[in-house]
Amino acid sequence: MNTCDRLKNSSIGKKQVVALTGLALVGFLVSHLAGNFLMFKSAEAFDTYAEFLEHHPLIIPAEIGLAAFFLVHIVVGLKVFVENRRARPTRYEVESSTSGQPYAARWMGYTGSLTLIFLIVHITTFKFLGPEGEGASLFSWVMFCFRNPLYSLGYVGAMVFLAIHLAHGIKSAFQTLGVSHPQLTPLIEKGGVVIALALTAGFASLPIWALTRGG
Amino acid sequence: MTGTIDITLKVWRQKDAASAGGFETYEAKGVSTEMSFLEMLDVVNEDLQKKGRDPIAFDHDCREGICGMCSLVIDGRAHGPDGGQTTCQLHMRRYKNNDVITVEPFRAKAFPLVRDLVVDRCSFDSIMQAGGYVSVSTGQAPDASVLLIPKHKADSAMDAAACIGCGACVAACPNASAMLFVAAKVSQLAQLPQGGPERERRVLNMMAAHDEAGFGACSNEYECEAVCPKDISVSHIARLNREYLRALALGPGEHQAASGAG
Repeated sequence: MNTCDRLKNSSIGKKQVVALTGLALVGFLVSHLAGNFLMFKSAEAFDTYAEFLEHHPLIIPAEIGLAAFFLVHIVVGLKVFVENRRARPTRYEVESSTSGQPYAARWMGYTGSLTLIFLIVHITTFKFLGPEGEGASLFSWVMFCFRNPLYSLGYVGAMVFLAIHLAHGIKSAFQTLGVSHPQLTPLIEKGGVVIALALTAGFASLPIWALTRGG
Repeated sequence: MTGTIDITLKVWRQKDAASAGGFETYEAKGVSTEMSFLEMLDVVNEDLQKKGRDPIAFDHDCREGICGMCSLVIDGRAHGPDGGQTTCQLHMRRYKNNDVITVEPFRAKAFPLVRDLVVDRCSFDSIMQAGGYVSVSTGQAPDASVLLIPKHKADSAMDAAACIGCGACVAACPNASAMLFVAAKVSQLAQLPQGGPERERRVLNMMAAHDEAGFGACSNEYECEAVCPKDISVSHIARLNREYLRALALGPGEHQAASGAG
């Protein structure tokens, strides 16, 4: 077996691939949220930014790269999740947790899958649907969607699942990549939860803002 | 405080791997609180034998917490309700009169059930055979001061070496992963110059044997650390992950690594 096979097939290798792609996707979320916050500035600022991205020469390769990160993270992550279920065919009569860790870790496969469903709806709504052509405003389309309470509720709900996913995911990724330090690790553990909550609260603030804003 | 208590035991009984198993309930009356948990099972077994029934099969050997042979998941927790000890170190004074105690075997695909509470932990031997050793030169014993080992590394290696290979980490892990066991063994040798020659091969081969045996992957829930009778820290799992990345980068290398510790 060479290094590539080991990354693909060994239990640690797969987890390290999931950890690396996961951290990269957190980086993407940060830049995505920064762009979203332009909505708070003005409709023009947000539309100009959207226009800029849409016509950027590197947008296609960037999108392909991003899709690849998502795909690898999802496929390898689900594979590990299913294999882990198979490693204990008979369950215990008395199920208990001794570590005092929240169950976020145990739910990674579920919270991740729910986030995937959100992702499909999200991309369909804001990339493939909506107004096209000259003078079309992405801002208006986003506001139109967010003013539908059902859509916004689903959006905020998905952010809750994402928060649970990231609360474990970020700190777990560092452990999987071998970072363990008497001073740094407690910071990473708390920082991961703070980043997870801050990111998802940031995303959820937009539909809540749209719903509560008059006009 | 000496005394006696009455307890109810719910014990997993299964004739062999091919038969279906189930829980059976036993009333143990007048159990001395001075008994260890295993001695209590001995007494229950004597009573079963007097009645002409099959005694409960369970693993045990040294009964002083160092051999790693005893197992059992007691009320959902490997090695019983208290951390940092093995089942043989658990005593009945921990229980109250009329307590109901559920006793199950370690459950993992890689630990096939043999009978009742006995499981086959040979997969740990396969992992050790794959790389849990060091090369030593034959001949005269080397001078003690030839190999300089920093104190903090010697301490950390010793902490890892405390692993008795009981398999409680596997029993407690939601994924039945043996990462804490492999981590203890890899971490012990990776920090010492003696472990240098096989350093990259060791971690790759031991993990290959781990996966081959059917253990799951670590999801960093740290249930293993919480039940480990020797309090092995999950920081050793981080070191195992680090060693794995390092070996992926360097390859299994048949070269004799000059820098052992690191």
